[in-house]
This record gives sequence, structure tokens and C-alpha cells, in this order.
Amino acid sequence: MEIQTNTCEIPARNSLERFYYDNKTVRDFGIACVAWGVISLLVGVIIACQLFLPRFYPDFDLGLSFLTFGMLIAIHTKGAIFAFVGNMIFMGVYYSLQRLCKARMWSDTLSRIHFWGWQCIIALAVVTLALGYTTSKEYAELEWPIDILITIIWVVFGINFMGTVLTRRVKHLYVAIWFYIGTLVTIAVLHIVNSMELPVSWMKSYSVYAGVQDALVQWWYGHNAVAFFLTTPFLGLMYYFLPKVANRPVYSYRLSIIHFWSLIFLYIWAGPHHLLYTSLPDWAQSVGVVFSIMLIAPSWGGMINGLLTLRGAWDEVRTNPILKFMVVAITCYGMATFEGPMHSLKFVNALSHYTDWIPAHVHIGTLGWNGFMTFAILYYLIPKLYNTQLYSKSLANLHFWIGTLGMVFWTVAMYVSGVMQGLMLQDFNPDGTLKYANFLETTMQVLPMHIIRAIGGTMYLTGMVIMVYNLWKTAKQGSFVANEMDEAPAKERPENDAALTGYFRHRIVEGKPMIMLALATIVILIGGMVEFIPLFTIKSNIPTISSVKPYTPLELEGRNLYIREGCNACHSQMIRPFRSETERYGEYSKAGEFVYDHPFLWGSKRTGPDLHRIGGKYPHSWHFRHMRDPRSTSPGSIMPSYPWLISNKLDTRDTRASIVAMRRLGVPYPFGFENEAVDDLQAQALKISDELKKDKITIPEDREIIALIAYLQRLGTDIKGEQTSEITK
Amino acid sequence: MFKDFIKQDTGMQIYPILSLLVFIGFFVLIIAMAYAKKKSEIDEASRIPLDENDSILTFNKE
Ligand code: HEC
Repeated sequence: MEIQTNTCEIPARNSLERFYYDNKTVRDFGIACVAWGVISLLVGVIIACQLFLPRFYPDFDLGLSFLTFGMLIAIHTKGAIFAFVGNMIFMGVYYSLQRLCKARMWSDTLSRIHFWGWQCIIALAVVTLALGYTTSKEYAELEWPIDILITIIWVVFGINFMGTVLTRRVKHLYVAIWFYIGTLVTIAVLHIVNSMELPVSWMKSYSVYAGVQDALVQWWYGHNAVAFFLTTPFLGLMYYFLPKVANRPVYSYRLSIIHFWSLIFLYIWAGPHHLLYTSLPDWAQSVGVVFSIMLIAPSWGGMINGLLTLRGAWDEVRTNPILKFMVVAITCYGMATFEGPMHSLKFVNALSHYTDWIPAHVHIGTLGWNGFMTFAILYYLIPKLYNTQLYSKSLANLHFWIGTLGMVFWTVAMYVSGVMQGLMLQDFNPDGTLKYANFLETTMQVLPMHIIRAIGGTMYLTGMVIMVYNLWKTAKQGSFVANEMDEAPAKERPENDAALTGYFRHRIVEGKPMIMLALATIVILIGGMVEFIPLFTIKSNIPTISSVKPYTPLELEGRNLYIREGCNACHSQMIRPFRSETERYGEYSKAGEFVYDHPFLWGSKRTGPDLHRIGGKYPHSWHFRHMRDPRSTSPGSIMPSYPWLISNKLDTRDTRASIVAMRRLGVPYPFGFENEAVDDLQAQALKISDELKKDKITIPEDREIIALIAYLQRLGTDIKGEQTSEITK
Repeated sequence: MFKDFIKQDTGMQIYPILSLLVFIGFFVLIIAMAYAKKKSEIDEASRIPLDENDSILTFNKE
């Protein structure tokens, strides 16, 4: 049953204006959050299994390209962040903003466009990512037409949001709204700057930045997507829903103000901590480290503020599952924001980077902070929207325990696995050789941890399914209030008594959100600018290496395939200057080697070995066999098979356009080279297929695998014999 | 510890120190701002989420 409006026969009280909150948009975002959430987490469980199942069932992927780890992980992360958490942000913002402003959302039409536009983006994301349309930039994989759509929908949200704030009936802007405003501007800036790409065709583009610069922009974006999508909006939600559920004001409102400004100011600088020991110039790394460590202060200020709000209410925490979820969420926020700065310390990072330790850290944040806060808000809001009580408190408690336990399994297993594998990869024999020379040996050692992780994930997902049932039953027993009535004193208008002074005061109040918007923008731009400008303008930051040459057309196509298949999800291309790495992979990576890499492909996780110096390590035939069935060359490998690379013909229709686009981005292909590009490509392909024939592999030269082999064999070879290594560790 | 981060000789070592100073300045400013606000104003603002007239809903069902 659905009540359209809870209209009231009694006329509005004197001097009070009557209006209705839009609950429909709130509910719809809630449904979308839950639906996409279950799907994203299910995909998460599947990819967790893919990291150990191939050991037992080599044909796990069924030979389907869209079921490989590289494809699914992009869908999982996009789904979890933008669909699960994203829809929750909108649900919470649409609910709390209206109440905090005592006003309906500014425009119902914009609310509808926002809702359907966002779902459309997510659906397009799933389809295009499954088809291999990706830019490869983490959390920004979507191709340019979808990037434009995201921008439009975000602007729609922004207009609707600011319209509501500007027409509010409450004088003060509650601190939650500040966090929302910070989110609004920063996500817009991050998205636009990081998505600067030159289209080659309707679903393919190249990042306008290359190598080191691309890496810096990407991780400035990546880190701040965590900050301004997974953190600031949720802090806003915390500052609204926690006092509401606990029925007491936030512990210190002053602290929340300090929390807000120092957090947005500091966060924006910390991106380079994702690039420690890489080819990023040292000064930029140091800035990232310093700011990351300072970030503990505001983050913990926020956590303490949240927890102390519950002082004197701990009895209630024991009995109220909503508060339980919130307490664990806030605690996880504290843990994740303590751990983050620790990972930014160089000696910790040297061990933890590229290992399972990082996903463990990330999942404390997403499963704990975002997930549990989301569940708390859903358990609070759905009964309210349906004007009823929660169907079952004991099911909610069950969800809480199974979710917490699942999270513990997940993260502890990955901490152990990360530290174990990290240490093994650094281990030397007394005679100075690597103890685990074969990367795969370390993978085998941590396999049991991956099984435990998958079990933990399944438990967490089970908890969610229980929640879906509980909320569905709740909705069924209640009746939905699509438009909820409220009353508030009308806004001052100039024609009122104290006409002039009142009018001016009113104008100033109205101006405040705009000032806030402008200030927040300035604050977040400072950090980005200070890091970008020197890196983009001072040449000495990226010393050129004369032997580094642009990719041949065939290698470029191979690189496109590497991006399409998401190989960078498991492989890094960045050798750090440690003896354990130079011994294992070869000469450490130099900034000058990446100047033609649009986009950069350094990766962030080594599920497989680094590939930056793979060129020339094996014969073509090894790569052919390995790509067809990794188990044939590397027994026990968990890498997916890529049989379609052998049957698919290489699509060269865009080769010409790619060369032209690259030249426009500054890659020095001679003028007119685009006209010979396809011929050049075919000649090189023929050479490779001839060489394969010598190893008794007969394959036409027009297959995708040929291009991929060409690319792999080129990797890291430009500077061979150029320099001698100077090792720092 | 900070010395270790900053001692690299790239001509850019001024950056971390500068950014630290910028931040300290900013931090002092916002603390001053937060404490300049009147207590009554702070209390009023902090109660906004609790101000809702939740009774209207139930009252309407009668
Ligand atoms: C699920 C993670 C995963 C994905 C995705 C993946 N790999 Fe691998 N890869 C591995 C693992 C694990 C190894 C080590 C065992 C082996 O040799 O198969 C490996 C090894 C390799 C090696 C040999 C490295 C060496 O030094 O011996 C190459 C080359 C390689 N992968 C290329 C690729 C390419 C190209 C793609 C994309 C088409 C890809 N990989 C996708 C996990 C992955």
C-alpha cells in the first residue's frame, strides 16, 4: 500500500508554512543501493574465488572474456563505490538535506533525472566494462562518452542540491551540509581533471597525460575519490544520522567544524603516497608522506567526535542494532585512517605496497565504514519511510554479527597474506640469491588465506541478503509515505515588517552556501596545484632518456589489448629500487621510460609478477603458450587463460587514428607515419608469426596474440645496456 | 624522521616544509574561526538534526 501524501485536514499553524518532503527519490536510491550492493558484492566473492580456484579447476573462466579477473574486478570496484556507496550517499543526502533545510528538494524533475541518470551510468558501466571498454585508470575506467554523462548528471545533482540549500527555511547550515558541499565541488574537479582524454573512436580514448604525470593525476584522483566519495559524504551522514539515532546532539560541534576544514585541506595533498619508491620525483613523494601523516589528526578528531556523541548512551548501543552498526562503522573509520598514514611511511610502504595488505586496508574502509554505516542508515530509514517498525530486530542483530565476523575473516586473512607474501618476496638466501626466485611459489603459500578471504566475503554477503529480506518485510508491513508533511516558519521576505534589515540579513544568509562552495573549491585546489604545476612545468623532474622511443603500431595495438583485458589489475609495471626487486625483475624503472605511456600502466597490486622488464625474458613461443594456458608453462598458475586472443583477428581500423591521436598528445611520430602504420604493423606481425613457426607454432599473423606478444617483448627494453643500476636498498 | 624525508637533494626540499607551514597557518585560522562563534549559535546549530517535528507523521495517521 502506498500513501501518496500524508495530507492533513488541519490548516497550518499560524505563521507556519506547510510543505512536503520528497520521500520517493530517497526510497528509490535506497532500493538501488541495496540491489547494486548485492550484485557488486557477489561479483566480489566471485573474483575472490578466482584467485584460488584455477589451482583446482583450471577452466574456471569457461573461456569467456567478460568472466576473467581483470574485467570483473573493474565491475566490482565500480559497483561497490559508485553503485552501492553512491546510491547510499544520494539516499542519505536527499533525506537529510530536506530535513536540515526544512524544504523539499528544489526540483522534482532534477531529482528524477538524477536518479535515472545515475542508474543509467551504472548499467552502462557494467556493460562497457564487461566488453573491455576501459581507460585502465583505477576507479576512472569508464570511457569518454560515459565520463561526459557522469559530468552532466553530477551537475544536475549539484543544481538540485544548491537550489535546495538556497531556498531553505533554516538559518544555519548544519555541518553535514558542509561535508556535502565539499563532496560536490571536489568530485566535480577530480572527475574532470582525471578524465582529460583524447577520443580515438567512440569508445576509445587516450589520457592526455603520460607516464609520471598521468600517475600523479591518477592517484591524486584515486586517493581523493576515497576521500571525497567514500569519506566526506559519509561523515556528513554520520553527523546527521548519529545524533538522530542516539537522540542527542553531536559531542562537539566546534570540533566538527575544525574536522571539516582540516580534513578537506589535508586530504587533497596526500595522493602521492600511492607512488612511494616509484619514478615520481622525491619531493612529491615527501609532500604526500607529510600530509598523509598529518591526516591522522582530523580523521581521529572526527572519529572521537562520533564515538563521544554516544557517551551516556552505551546501554542503548548494546540493545539497538542500528547503533551497533554505527559504532563499528566509526571504529573502522578510525582504524582505516590510522592505517593509511602508517602505509605512507616509506619503510612500511616498501613492504605493504603491491600486496594483499592494501586490499585489507581498503576493505576495512568499505566493508566496515561505508558498508556498516549504510546498513545502519537503511535500518533506520526504511521503517521511517514506510511509517512502521523494523520487521525483525533479531535478524538485524544476526546481520550485524555475521557481517562483523565476515569482515574479520576477510581482513585478517589478507593482512596475513600481505605480510607473508611481502616478506617472502624480499627474502634472500645466505649466498645472495632470492629465496623465492619463482613468484608463483609465494602465491601458493598464501592460497589458504585467499580461501578464508572468500569465506569471509560470502558471510558478509549473506548478512546483506538477510538485510534485504528484513527490509522487504518491513516495507510490506508498512505503507509508504511518498510525500511527508512538515511545517516551518516561512522565510523572511522583504515585504515583511522589518523590511530592509531583515532583507539584507536574509541575503547574507543566502550568500553563505555560495561562499562556502567557493572556499571549499579554493582549499582543495591549492594542494593539487602545488603538486601538479612543478611536475608539469619543470623539465628536470622527468629526465629524458634518448634511447626511449615511441611504440610501433603493432606494440601500440598490443598495449590497447593489455588495457582491454585488464592485465594491470594483477601486474605492475614499476620496479622499485630495492635489491629484492632489481634481482627479481631487472633494472629499476626510470621516470624517462614512461614519457610515451598514455595512459601509464604502473598498476597498484602484484597478484602476478612485475612486467616492466618482461621484454626479451622469454621467447615468443613461451608467451603464446602462457597466454593460451598459463598452467602449461607455469604449473599451478592462477592467471586466467586468454584463448580468444588466439582466435580473434586484430582490429586495425583505428590504428591510423591512434597514431594521429598520440602525435597530438606529443608522441613524436613523424608526419605521414599514420599512412604507413598498418603496413608497418603487418610487417612486424609477420616477423613474429615466422619466429613462432620456428618453435612449431603455426598462427596467422593477423591475430590479437601477435600484437600482445609484440608489446610484451618491447616492455622495458629501450634502456637495456644504457645505464648501470644504483641500488638504494 | 622528517629529516629523512626531506634530505633528498633535489632542490625541492623546501616543498614539504612550506606545505607544513601553510597547513599550520590554516589550522590555526580554522580553530580561531570555530572558537570565535558564539556558544548560543553553536548550540542552536548542533540541535538542527533533532529539531524535526517527527510527531506530524503519527498524528496524521489518526
Ligand atoms: C588474476 C591475475 C592475473 C591476470 C588478470 C593476469 N595475470 Fe599474468 N600472471 C599472473 C600470475 C599469478 C603470474 C605468475 C605465474 C605465471 O607465470 O603464470 C603471471 C605471469 C605472467 C607473465 C610471466 C611473467 C614472468 O616474469 O614470468 C606474463 C608475461 C603475464 N603474466 C602476462 C599477462 C597478460 C598479458 C595479462 C593480460 C592479458 C595477464 N598476465 C593477466 C596473474 C595474472
